[in-house]
Amino acid sequence: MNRDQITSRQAFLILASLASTEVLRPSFRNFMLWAGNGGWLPILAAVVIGLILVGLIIRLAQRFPQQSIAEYAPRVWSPWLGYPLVIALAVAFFVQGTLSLRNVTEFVVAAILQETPISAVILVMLVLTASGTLAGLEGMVRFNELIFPVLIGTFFVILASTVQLNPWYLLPWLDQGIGKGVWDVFLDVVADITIVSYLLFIYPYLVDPENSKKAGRRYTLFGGGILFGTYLNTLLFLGHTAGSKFTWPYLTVTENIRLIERGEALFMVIWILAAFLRISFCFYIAALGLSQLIPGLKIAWMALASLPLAAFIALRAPNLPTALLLDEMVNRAFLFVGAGVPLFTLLLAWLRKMGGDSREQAPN
Amino acid sequence: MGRRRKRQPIPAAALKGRRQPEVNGSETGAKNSNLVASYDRPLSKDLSENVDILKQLLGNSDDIIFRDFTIGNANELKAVLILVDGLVDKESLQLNVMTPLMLWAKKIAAPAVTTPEAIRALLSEHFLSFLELKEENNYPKVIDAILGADAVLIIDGLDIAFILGAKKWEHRSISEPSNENLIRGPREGFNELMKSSVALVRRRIKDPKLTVKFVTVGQRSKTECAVLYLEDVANPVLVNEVRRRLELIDYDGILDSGFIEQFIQDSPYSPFPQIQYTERPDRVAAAILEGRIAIISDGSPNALLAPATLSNFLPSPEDYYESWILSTALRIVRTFGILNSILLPSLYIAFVNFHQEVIPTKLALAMAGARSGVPFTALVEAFLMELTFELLREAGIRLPNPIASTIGIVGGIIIGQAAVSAGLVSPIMVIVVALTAIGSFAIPSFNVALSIRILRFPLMALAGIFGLYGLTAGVILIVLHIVTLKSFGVPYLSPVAPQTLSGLTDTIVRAPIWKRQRRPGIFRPHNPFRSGPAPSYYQHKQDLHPGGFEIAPLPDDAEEGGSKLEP
Repeated sequence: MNRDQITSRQAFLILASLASTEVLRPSFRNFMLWAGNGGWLPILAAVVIGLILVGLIIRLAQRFPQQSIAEYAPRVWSPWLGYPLVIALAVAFFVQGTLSLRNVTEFVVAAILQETPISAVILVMLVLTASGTLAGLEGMVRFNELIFPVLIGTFFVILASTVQLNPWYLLPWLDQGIGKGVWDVFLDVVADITIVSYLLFIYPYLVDPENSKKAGRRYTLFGGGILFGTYLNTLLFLGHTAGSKFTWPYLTVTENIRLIERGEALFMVIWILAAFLRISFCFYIAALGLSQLIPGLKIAWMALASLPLAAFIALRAPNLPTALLLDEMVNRAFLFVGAGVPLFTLLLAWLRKMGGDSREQAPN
Repeated sequence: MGRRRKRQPIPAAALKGRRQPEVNGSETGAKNSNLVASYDRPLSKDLSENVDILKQLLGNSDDIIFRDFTIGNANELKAVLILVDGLVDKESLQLNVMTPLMLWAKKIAAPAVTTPEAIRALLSEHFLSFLELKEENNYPKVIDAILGADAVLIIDGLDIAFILGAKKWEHRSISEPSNENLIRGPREGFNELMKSSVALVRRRIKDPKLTVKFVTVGQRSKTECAVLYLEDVANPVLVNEVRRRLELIDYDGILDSGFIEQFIQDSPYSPFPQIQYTERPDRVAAAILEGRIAIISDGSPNALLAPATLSNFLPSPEDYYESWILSTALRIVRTFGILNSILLPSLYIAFVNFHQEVIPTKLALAMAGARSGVPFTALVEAFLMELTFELLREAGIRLPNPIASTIGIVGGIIIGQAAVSAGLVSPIMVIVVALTAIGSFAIPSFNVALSIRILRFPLMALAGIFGLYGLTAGVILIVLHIVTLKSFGVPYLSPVAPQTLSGLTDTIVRAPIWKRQRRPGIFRPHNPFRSGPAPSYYQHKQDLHPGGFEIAPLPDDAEEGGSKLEP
């Protein structure tokens, strides 16, 4: 099969970018509500547990080095259950991308384009993301390679520039009970696994799976480190004051950063880049998953066909609070689909001794 | 699956099938081509038949000379010399063909020379003293030789024609390339003579592995092209691909290397050049040493270099002749210039229209004051100024040099000043346009600068409508386009995306020459090493100065404790 091929280093970079751009998600708004009350404890625990689980998933996925989850899930679960699960996963990616689209355009309108209709802003972003999807995996990973240093660098610039940096926010948190902490740990672990589920779709596109096996372990640790850094960064510089009072805490923070003058518009550029990458990748994964299920279905066609659908879903919510609420609900559901389907599929495959050295591994 | 459909060059056969019938003047030409093809057969032994056919095939052009004469040996052989006036060295033909055959041959009593083989051997071995001498026995090839500026000698009784390499025509001498000026570096540039250009490269790479292959392109122009590469360095797959694409060219006239570039590039609808061109032999030699392939076409002073990535277009050859620190500094300045050139007007529009908070307060007030009398929006103002500037630049290129500089001064200073005084544009806008222009002049490759000039306008429009959001969207689209471009299979943005660490030593930062022991991996060279492993800085110093190096004082200095200056 003639496929775009990417290196494991590029795969790592794209996962790291997706992890870093998690801060754009509205779930982090809630996450920041208790930032400053010792929110580092669940994060630390989640990163450690998440890394173990992510490592386990990557290890299990190496039983099918030449196949994506869309290709082996129907065989593992049987077609009757496998196909709906993969479709659910692909649809979840698509819906998540669409709601992220609404989320980020609301952000743009709130920050810099107050007088521009949101539909126009959505349309521009849709054109961008469709182009991203059409550029394919190779195009997107190269784009990511280009912007990755800027993306990571920006976090450090923001961190260094913030006036709200306060190490006291790292104090242990005890005032909301153990139950809340355990639930937060669970959600964060699920979020960690969800990010890796992107990898399970593009696994067969990695150059030299044997080599990526070694690289995969190393990059899992790096990815975990970046994820942890991102979470910690979020906690540190936003603090609970900004997090609890504002819809867009990042905007509030950057409004206070003085580079030459107020710089939120400049930082917005970075967020647009990050959002573009995230949304395009969500759409691409959804299209890729479906095209892997249905041979002959072209990704380009689906990318174009999904434009009006994405616009329709993105504009469903009548106002910002509804959009945020919808996004939060879908996001939570997506966390479970995105984490649960890959993990249980791979565990079942391992129990059934499928893949690996057995004859279940189909030739590429 | 998951792969964009790659554009494949259209096979020549398929193109032939789709070609529309030619009309008017070209119809005669097509008939003539068919006529030549219909005579694809051996020459006759009868001289008059051969001459008749060749006259018929060559048409009625007055510049084609048929010179009948008699070879003065015992057999009184008739012969015809055919040549195109102005394309051959008549003096050489007079000296090496006409005189020996008409005068000296009489003095040689050769009664034994009666058979065609003996005549042929005698002529080629004793009389036709040409370095390039070939024999052809088929009409189309003889026609090609005549039109290709060779002289052709046909003799009665022989079914072959002697092709005499006597090409000579007026041409421009080797001069300094006007478009690639350097402070430091060689001053030689290619001219329109392909073989002279090949020789200039050969003079720089005296390696038997430097291979030169000739390919003829253009059905009517029959332009000769030379493909140059290092046999043990260039990737053979790449060499074959370049030759294949050249052979696929199916067009009547290839008048410049620009035609070839457009035919063989991967993405013809992209505004970005995917093949580099240069007039400098040193640049071509450097590219060949990296494992790239050069194409030099007759009639063009520009050699093509393939594959070419964006990073190949940005350095100047001078970068490699200066210290790496200075070169790196210059490259940073140049990068700033490029960003300036593409983004500055759009940023100005976005800041003025949408994001005034980004501008320092005092500057914002000054800008508002300056713009207060301007009747246009920032977008219209920027478009007007940029278009005027492009117009001036275009006019300056077409005019002779002294007038061009006057136009520059008139345009830049007088019109700019007048426009500000008339309240049509703000002074800040004039500064923005001037900085943009200076930035674009800093780009060493004209074709990349041109692409950037074109792309600036849609970016300005996007910035005018959506501010920084639109500008970002435009930049994303451009970057997405660039990352998917390829030049002969090599990603256009490599070695930045996809990144290769060895390649990054020659992007914005240029590593010291002695550190660059590997050829750029992006071209997949057959032999990736220029020399042995790269030494460390300390090893490099140690190699240069084993045991320290000092200039010993002169005996007088040693006695006096210093040097003496004689009056």
